[in-house]
Amino acid sequence: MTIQGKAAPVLVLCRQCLRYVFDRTIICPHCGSDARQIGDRYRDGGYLAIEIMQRIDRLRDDATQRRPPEATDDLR
Amino acid sequence: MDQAPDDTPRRRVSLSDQLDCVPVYVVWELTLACNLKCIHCGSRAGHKRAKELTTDECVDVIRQLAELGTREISVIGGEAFIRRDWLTIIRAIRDHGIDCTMQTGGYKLSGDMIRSAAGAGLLGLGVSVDGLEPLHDRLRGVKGSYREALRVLDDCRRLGLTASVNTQITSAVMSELPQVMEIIIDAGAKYWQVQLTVAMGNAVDHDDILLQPYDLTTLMPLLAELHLKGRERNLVLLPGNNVGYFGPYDVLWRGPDRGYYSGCPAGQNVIGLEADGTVKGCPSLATDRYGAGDVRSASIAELWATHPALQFNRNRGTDDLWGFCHDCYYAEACRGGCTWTADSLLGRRGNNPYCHHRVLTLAERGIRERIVKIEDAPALPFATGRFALIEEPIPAGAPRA
Repeated sequence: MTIQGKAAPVLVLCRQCLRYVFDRTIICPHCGSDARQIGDRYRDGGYLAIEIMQRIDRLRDDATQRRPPEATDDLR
Repeated sequence: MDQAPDDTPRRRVSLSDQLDCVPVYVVWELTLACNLKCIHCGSRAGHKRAKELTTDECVDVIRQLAELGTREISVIGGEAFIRRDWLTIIRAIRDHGIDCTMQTGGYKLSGDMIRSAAGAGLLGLGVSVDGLEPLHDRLRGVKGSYREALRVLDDCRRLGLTASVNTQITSAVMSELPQVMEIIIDAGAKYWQVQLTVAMGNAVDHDDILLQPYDLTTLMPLLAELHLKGRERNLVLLPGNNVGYFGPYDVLWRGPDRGYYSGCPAGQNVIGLEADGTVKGCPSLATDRYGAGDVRSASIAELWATHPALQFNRNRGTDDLWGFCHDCYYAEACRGGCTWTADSLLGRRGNNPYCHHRVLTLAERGIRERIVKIEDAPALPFATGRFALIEEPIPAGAPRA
């Protein structure tokens, strides 16, 4: 018997205020800034490296599930 | 880097675990018998259940869980070690390739017993410390239980067994948390999981110990401060499932390396088992609303695949959200947070006032929420009462953020 669940939506950190926002959010609903623009705390706190590792994990998960990979054009 | 060291447990849920609904983590009440009399106990533990599983039945449960892909079983009570066969059960769990941990009040758990448990394959022991000595002993209902808990932590350190501390966040303990942290660090704890006391069972009878939702305004900055201080001393403060959600401090304790809160996993990646074999999506959920049959009447695989009481989280919809949670920005991800907390309080899941994001959002409007008991809980394990949720203007001088 096959059991099918749904996956949780992907959240990322706003790179300005470090509150969680839905993936591909442009304007952060919390701080009103560009959520993709890397802020000092994000850079100095090592969050970018963690974010990249998470994206690799998700790509691996997608490959395992044979899902189309997520866009990575906001990794800048 | 201002992230804590990685401590990824095998219970971390992958995408395929979510999609395939693998019951990665199981919490198993081995017995309802207990040697403490905690006034916040949701299961009203004390005496064993009428028809608790036999040793052979327990081993068969473990075999079934291994086949379903379970990677960690945490044994609890009551007090798990009151069962005479508790070491046999731990050994069987490990023999099936599943990690085994145990949660305990620690009262009368001797060093020799801990050594035997480690020898049987126990990987970690979680010990409850709910305040400084007077408060802990009052909440736990047994004088001397605090000293026993600290002695167990010391025994774990001496024996090389990883020890963690669990603390119930009651209204009384908030001011003691900094001192509690100092004490458990000195006692050798490496992990500290904190959880809000939930309005269930004995805690409904003693509702003065429950936090008000607006207390999160004070609690969450305190936990953030303790998290950072603890990290400097090699203690990882971890939030329980009902500490959240998506507030300004979530990044400290839920990520990004640990993963953000992704909604209640009950019935999707978690199973709760009662000592008589009753299966639930989470061990703490009210049995009358979430009991999904028992292992004597059907296989766990059959119950897991077909019983409606285990299905409610799997489609991850937002249809059952109501109140503030219905219109929340995080609704799709959070889905009202901890089902147990919301359902026990208001009699229906999907609206959880114990949420930092919610408290802050309401505070911007000058509003706070308060709970008032309107109905007691029956004298049964995992029984719930009923609370009303009152919105009111924030009084002058009260904290807002």
